[in-house]
Amino acid sequence: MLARVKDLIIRARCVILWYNPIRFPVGLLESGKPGPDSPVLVSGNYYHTVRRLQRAVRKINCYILVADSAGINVWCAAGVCDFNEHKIADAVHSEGLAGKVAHRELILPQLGAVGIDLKRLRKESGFRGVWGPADLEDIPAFLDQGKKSDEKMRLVRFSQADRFYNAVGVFNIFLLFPFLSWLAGYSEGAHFFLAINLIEIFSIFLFYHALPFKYPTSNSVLVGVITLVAVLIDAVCLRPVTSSVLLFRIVATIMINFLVTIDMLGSTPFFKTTMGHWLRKWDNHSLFQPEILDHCTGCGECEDVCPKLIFTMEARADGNGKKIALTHLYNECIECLACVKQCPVESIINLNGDIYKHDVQSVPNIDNIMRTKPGPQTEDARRFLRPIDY
Amino acid sequence: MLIYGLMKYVESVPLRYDKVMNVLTLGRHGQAREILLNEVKAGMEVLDIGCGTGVFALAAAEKGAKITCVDASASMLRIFRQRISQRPDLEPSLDIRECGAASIGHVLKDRRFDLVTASLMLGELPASVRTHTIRVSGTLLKDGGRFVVCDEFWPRNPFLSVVYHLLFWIFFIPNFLLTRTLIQPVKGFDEDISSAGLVIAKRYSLLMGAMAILWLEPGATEGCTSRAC
Repeated sequence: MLARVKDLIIRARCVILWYNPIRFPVGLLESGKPGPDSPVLVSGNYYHTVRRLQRAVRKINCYILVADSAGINVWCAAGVCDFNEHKIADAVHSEGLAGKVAHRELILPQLGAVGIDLKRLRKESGFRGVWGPADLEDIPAFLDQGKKSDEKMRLVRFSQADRFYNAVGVFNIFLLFPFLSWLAGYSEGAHFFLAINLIEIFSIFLFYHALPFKYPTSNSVLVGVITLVAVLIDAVCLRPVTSSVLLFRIVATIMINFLVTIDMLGSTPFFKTTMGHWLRKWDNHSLFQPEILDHCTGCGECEDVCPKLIFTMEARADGNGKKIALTHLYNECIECLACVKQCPVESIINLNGDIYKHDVQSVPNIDNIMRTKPGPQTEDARRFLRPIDY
Repeated sequence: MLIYGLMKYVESVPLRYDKVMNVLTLGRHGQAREILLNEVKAGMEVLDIGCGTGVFALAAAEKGAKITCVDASASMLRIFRQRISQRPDLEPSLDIRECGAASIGHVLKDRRFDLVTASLMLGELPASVRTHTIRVSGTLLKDGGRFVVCDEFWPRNPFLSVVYHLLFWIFFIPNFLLTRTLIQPVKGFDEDISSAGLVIAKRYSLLMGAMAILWLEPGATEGCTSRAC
């Protein structure tokens, strides 16, 4: 009973304090009645993730290996070396996994691909890594179809539950403004901030797919404009206020909208560009634009880990029977750099050269890779084969 | 915990790591290193777990020891390798392995060492990983070998423990802002070493007992298993 209450409190903390790392103890969990042949699912140790994973696989007999990810989500942790092959190998050895299962296979979160080196993992832990689906809700289906991810499973989603979770977290951070207003003794301003935060944050997250534009930044600006018009109608026509109050409301509405819009550049799994780039060029594309060099071996590692389905393996044009990776809609890239990390021959480079976000620290030799210039042959190799409907 | 918080912060700038660490620990980081170095003799086989930028390892290599260095941070090891490139004469004495602390048993398999050191790294590990690391470190010792640990320990004294809890919550926000994670002093160390079959042969306190250097040896009956003795 006490454990259940504690669990509920921690889970509430996960929702309320969105940016706060909350750690699940590193260890080996059992789901159902696992045996020596049961699959081993690897998870980071963000509390919310582990509890969601336990719920998703509650009907499956399996092990969940919780590895240290500094209490944050796997995707972010992997990019900054907080979740990598060393952390997983440490968990494998600490829990004596080799003595509990007969096989030597770990199912890894696909979004951890930016941080995990499979060869080193095998050497360090004795276990082979297999990429699982991008979304943990797909794990039962992934296991059903023989530990294979189809396209739908590899594509990163942004479900209503995730969006609600995200909205609550952002809203709580933005409580700073009503709080400061209240501290300054302007309670009416605090109420106004609360209302504006509620409208702007929840409408953009909850109606994410229903809003008309492709990019969440554009949708956020649209929501801001509609909100501002409503504020003006209210303050000028319906319930007239003094000019100073009107000025406060206009500035507050624009400021909150600007901050929410900036948040859209990094808080969603869809687009990731820098604030400067977006402000200067009104462009939502990531600075990293993947390009394949001709020495690509067509191994398919990039295809397996790309959460935006940008790569496919195609037969080479010279008909020698070998394959090469091709980039479809490369401008859909969100610069997670999982492809660059996993490419065994460093054949994925950046069309923008050294201009990229520089936030991923888990790719060795990244400086040289980013400085590599594309050859003339690669311009021919890039083809746009089919649109992807997001 | 503030020491660790700031350490995590300065880890983001590994080049300055050693200088900053020394300032943060009021010079005790350097002092602790000197004490650890006193344990190193020419010809010894030494394992440095969490070697970081390799200042200790290079100094130990200069004394004529053979050092196996283990660290999970690629950025720290990059700095270490740059330092080695300036001292190519020491390179044959250094064996660098990038791996997690709990994986040393698997990676170093049949190797045995006269001295194993772990300086300011156990507190970074999750509890179960730390327990395993201590256990494996004990098994990697040669006969007569020693495991020397320098770290910040959670006090056993109930009054001090309450003070530490209070400090922890006071420093919660700056700690989190600096590190984006929460690192605590080592808890449950006595249980860990007794389950590893190690005993404390000697201890040296630093920073009014907030930090300590402990000399551990295999042996379940002799010596003491508690830091209180």
